Amino acid sequence: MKNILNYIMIGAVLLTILSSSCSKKETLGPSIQGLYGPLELVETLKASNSNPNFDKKDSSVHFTAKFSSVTAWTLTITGQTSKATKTITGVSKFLDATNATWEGYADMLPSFKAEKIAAVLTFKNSPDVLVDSLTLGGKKNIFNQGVLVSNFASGSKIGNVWAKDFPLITVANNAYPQIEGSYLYMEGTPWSGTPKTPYVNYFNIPVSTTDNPGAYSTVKSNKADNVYFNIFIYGTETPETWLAIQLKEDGTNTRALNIRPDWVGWKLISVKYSDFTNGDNTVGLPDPSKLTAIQFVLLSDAVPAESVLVKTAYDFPVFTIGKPFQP
Amino acid sequence: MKNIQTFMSNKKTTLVLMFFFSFQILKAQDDKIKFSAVSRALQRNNTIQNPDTLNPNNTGSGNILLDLGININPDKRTEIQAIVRFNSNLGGFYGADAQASLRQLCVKGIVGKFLNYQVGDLYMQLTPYTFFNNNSEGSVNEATVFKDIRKDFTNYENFSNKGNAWWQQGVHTNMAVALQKLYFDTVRLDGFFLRNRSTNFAALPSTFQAGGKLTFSKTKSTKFAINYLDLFDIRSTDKNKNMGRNPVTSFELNQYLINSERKSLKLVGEVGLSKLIDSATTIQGFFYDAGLQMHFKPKNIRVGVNYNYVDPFFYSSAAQSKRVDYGKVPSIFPTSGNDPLNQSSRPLSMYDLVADPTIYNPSIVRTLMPYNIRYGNALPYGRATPNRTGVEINTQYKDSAQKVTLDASAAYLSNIVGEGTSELRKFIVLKAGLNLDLHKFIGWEKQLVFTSGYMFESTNRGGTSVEKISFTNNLIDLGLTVETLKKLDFLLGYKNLNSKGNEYIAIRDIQNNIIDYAKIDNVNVTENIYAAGLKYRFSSASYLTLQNSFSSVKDNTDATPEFSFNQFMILFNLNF
Repeated sequence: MKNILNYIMIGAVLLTILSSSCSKKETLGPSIQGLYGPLELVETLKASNSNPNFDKKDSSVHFTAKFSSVTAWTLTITGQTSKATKTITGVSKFLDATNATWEGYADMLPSFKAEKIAAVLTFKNSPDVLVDSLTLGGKKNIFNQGVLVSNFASGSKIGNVWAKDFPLITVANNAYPQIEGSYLYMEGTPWSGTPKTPYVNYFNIPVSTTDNPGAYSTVKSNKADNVYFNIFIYGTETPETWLAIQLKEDGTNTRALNIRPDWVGWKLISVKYSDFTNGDNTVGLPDPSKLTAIQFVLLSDAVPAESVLVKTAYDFPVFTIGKPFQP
Repeated sequence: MKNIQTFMSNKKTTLVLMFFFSFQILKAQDDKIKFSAVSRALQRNNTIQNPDTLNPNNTGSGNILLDLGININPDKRTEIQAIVRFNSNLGGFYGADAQASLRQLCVKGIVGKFLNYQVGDLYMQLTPYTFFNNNSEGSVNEATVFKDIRKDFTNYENFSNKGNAWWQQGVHTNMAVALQKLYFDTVRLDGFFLRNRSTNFAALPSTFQAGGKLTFSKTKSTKFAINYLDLFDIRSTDKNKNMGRNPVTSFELNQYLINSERKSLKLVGEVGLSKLIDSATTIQGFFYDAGLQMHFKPKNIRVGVNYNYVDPFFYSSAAQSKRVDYGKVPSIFPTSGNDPLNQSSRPLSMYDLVADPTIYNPSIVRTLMPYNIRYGNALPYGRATPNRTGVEINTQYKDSAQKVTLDASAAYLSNIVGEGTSELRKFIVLKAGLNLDLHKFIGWEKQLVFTSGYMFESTNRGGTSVEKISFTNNLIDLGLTVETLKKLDFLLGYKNLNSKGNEYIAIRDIQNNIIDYAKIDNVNVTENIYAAGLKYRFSSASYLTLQNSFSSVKDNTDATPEFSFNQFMILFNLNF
């Protein structure tokens, strides 16, 4: 027994020595002084290029600034004409290319144009405001990200390659403002007979480059949590509208996303492929490389369902790898 | 005719045989099936005292339920326990809200002559650093008028009425073996495998918890134990494949240094290690806790002192998960403010901690849960709170006639590593609970009992004016029980909490790394609960009580409006 006790006591002593000699961090978490203390500005805000052209020569612009201590900051970049905004936040003693780089994208619609740009740096715990201005010579081409399903430039495939039911589906360009050319428009009411159902219409798009309904898309990743499905959807101010987007794998497995567009105007929806929910008979883990088609199903939340015309418009369904689509 | 007679004769024989067999079956069932029950009727009417435009001014709810316990013994070595709940919400129309559901189910028994097992719903507890459901905040030896509703409604409803054990589902086995010709008399092995969480097939994998305890004991001398448990995700049940684990190992020792008829002195200690593992990182931490406990037996005084050190990176999910989920919204008057477009949830109050089962947390989670500094800032995760070290002294006293019962402790703690600064927080925690059975002092045959509790907690940190912290909590619990007629008690209760000062609350990511702070400035809040009631005791566990209470939360800086409400409650609790 004495031996056991000795071993335990030795163990305790060793742990004590360990606890006092371990190379512990001096502090945990970000500096409170930096986050909440007074701020001294060492170097003002400055863009690396005051006349960038994202359309041609420039891929990005970065901003620089220096402070006396670590602080929480927010850089807001605003297009003076488009009113597009991009926000970058950080907690650091400086801004540079590692933490304050802008590639010309906006946080949400609208996108930036070739226009005057204001960059404003604000701080969580200081009233100081730093400002710089730029002139954007050329806007970012936002439509070359990822694998595009369709930009609905033409409606010639509707009803043959792109299967549908009887209510109205058309390519439109004047009912609502355009994002980039024409968009897809669906409207209708559920069938008035029995049984009652919320179903209005479906619209099936094969995703292969050859429009072959059995062929896979060019989304080569099989990591569902690394692939994003992105689409612009217009809020048509019909609160009964219900849009179900179904991803078809191998023509059979279905994974779905239900959207109730309760907003006004265009909105970019970006959802991880892995966040689509499995259909009743779906088996296996989600695999974007097995994608064969996307089906858009227009449904109605109206009661009675046939009493209200529901309508939706959407554009530019696109798959991106690693990060969501940036407007 | 013969046929008819034969039939009649046979019929009589059949009836006699049926009666005989029925009797046998009933007799057998009498041996094999036993019933027990908890029945409760509760009605609460609430009236808000400072009406706003969002909450209704008056609310009321009630229900009557029967939890029917069925114990079935198919044989001498097996027992099946089920609790079936029959619930009817008061105000329903002819049973419109009536429900029947299975509340608990387990099978237990013995394999061979030594291996005990239990499968299904079970309660599990190890040590305060490994597997421990810490008490909820907001009480120190509180009055009977509050204790009844907390015990028989709040804790009972959320399965946390078994001390510091967590309610879990899974399997638990144990076996003990007597040892001969060795220093230890017995060795006991406990093992468990628990289902912590089901997958949602999207972002959350299935999580299990497995572990055990190996205990060596020498009667009246030594106990040495090894605890191990691991909270782990099952691969392939989550599409994101971000698997996590939290293994914890600890070693316990209880060694009597002196154990005579007049006094005993015991060395108690526990040391342990933890890992928090995900796909990308492994965080390791450790703790130790050592102390001495002295018991002066003739005077029944116990005095203890211990020193503990809990590394900033010691993470033990089953010991650090909180009993109260401060992210939940109270069920009574859930909103605050008057702006319907900018509604906010009413923060939990001390009364919600006493009497709202819906704010309690049933789950063990790997990430440190949020807490409210007003109800406990020094040890929000119990003894296993990471980044704490210090000394605690405690004493308990109960005289032979049990006129006076005292339980008091004092602790001085500090951070081990500064949070956001090199300066360390210093904590002082004083707690005391005193019961006086006054009827024994004056020789009154009925009960006259005074209960009281007090907690003082201070948090201080130096440094620059930005880094400085000064925060205090004062909690007072007072209670009086007067037996007016035989078994009819008049109850009084009072709770008061006063919080003042400033603090920074760490905001953590999923790996418990501090990523930001919530700055809490200029706190000056007073909470009061006054309660009075009558209680008729049918037995020690069955009673009928009528209570009226007034609860208020006042921000003394007037930054937020006062919130107060009155509650009338009838509680009928029956155990049989």
